Amino acid sequence: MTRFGSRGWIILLAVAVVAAMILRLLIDRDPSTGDFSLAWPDAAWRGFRVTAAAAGALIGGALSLSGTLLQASLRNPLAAPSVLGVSSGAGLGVMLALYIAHVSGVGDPPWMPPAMLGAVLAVVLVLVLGRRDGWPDPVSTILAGVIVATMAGAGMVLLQGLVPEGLRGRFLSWAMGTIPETLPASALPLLATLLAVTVAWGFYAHGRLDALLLDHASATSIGGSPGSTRLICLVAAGILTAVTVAISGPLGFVGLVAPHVARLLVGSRHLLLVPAAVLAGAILVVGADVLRQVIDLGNGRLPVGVLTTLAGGPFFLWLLRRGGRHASM
Amino acid sequence: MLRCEDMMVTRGDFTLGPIGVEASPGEVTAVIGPNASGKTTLLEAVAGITGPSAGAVNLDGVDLHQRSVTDRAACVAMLPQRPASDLSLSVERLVELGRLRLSASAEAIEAALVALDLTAIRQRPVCTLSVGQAQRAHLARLWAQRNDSSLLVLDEPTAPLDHRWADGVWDMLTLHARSGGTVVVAVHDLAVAADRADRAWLLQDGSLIHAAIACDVLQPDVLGAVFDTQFEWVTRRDGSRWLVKGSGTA
Repeated sequence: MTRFGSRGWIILLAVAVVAAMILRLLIDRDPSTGDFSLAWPDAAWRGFRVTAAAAGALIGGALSLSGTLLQASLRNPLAAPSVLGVSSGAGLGVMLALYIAHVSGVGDPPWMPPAMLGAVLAVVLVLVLGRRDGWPDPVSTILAGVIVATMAGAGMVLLQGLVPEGLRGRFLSWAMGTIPETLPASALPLLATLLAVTVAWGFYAHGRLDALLLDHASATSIGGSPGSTRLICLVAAGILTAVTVAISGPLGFVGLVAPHVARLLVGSRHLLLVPAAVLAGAILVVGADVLRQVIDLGNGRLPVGVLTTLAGGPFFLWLLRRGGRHASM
Repeated sequence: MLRCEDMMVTRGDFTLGPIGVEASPGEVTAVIGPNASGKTTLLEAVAGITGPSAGAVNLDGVDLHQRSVTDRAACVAMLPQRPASDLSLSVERLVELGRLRLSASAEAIEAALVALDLTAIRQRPVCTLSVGQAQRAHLARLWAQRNDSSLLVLDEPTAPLDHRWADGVWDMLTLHARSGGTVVVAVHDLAVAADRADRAWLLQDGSLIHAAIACDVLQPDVLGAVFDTQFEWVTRRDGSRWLVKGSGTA
């Protein structure tokens, strides 16, 4: 892949993101007939659609960037935000808040704060358990993530059995992932700021990110500081994922598949991979959100997480079968 | 000048040292010893990859582990025994990474690619290369990082290479030493060590048994006691001697 070609792909991805967001603004479905059409939204709906388009792009970009940082820092092409136990931690936080609100008889609690708290606690726990010689160890971190995710998952199942059925249904719907059309005013600016800061750091530290792909001795010898770079990657990925999960619930496969799509197009250099991965993630999520507007199963629209998983799973299997250089780091 | 002062390194149950030894600019030092004698542990300590649990590693009078990351990358370069081979980075990018903390130098990168004959495959991902080609790519990264006075630390650098390239790499290491650099290299082929090294450090069970000029350390009786194998010198037709393994245990 020539460098000119890689830059061409990035421009093409950026154009595709803008096109997908415009499509999300224009697409309209009549809830009574299920028919859809393309039209500029009137003022009553514009705000909802702008929020959904912006949220989809930011959430997709953030999840994909998290996956990119995790795959580099853990030297594992199968690494994704879920390996840090973030989604399960967020789910446990929400479920715990719902249960406490239920037994104490107070009203429906806000979902974002407990989701964020659960996600951050899961990241902290995984980072502490995954340390070796003071720095995150790739294998120990993945194992710690699996344990934390499994235990949080068991906690969620336990709490689901203790709340009324209606509450459980709403939780399960959130747990499949959704792109919200209304959000607290601070949610998207917070995610946009975090994403911008992480992208800027990715550009600044692109050489050290490339060095993470080497073995520990070579990376240290060239001055790649793999320990501290790995820690920054894990913390950044953890925070980005925690905020996205708090906003949208867990979206399967975005953080796993989108970085691989970007790598196929522009190669493994992080100078190009970071922007390409952000754009690929944005396209995947906004595109899935557009697609769900036109799929009518006669019983409401599909959660977007179902579509990302249905599309991402087979694609990733194809990638695994394809093997070769693109399955490498 | 590289100087280990009562250096000890602990890794789990294994302890290396205490070791007091020196390597001088202009010389190639071979680190030899049986499996699990501590060669890799020693090399990683003198390259600044792992810190000693006691004592110090000084390079030109300054504690290596007190130097900044940039300073260390400028004066020491290491090639580990099994560098990553599953890289989808191109050969050229891998070589460029040798200058990560140093001033960008297109000349140094091009010279390294030419020296290891990689110009024709510079755009190929490392993971698509043969084991020998990948080793040459990692050697080129090391070569791009070095300067004339660098300490080069290499762990079995020629093991995956064919005879022509093994000889070529030894020639490069000798050239680096004669240019004022220091070379410390772990090697299992004792005949090659006897032929190419100026000095030798012989390790056994985490202890430094001998450290002297190579022809004094690489003697059949010394090696036989450590490796539990007979060694002998054979004389070739040109009159030179070659160290070979004998037919029995020592």
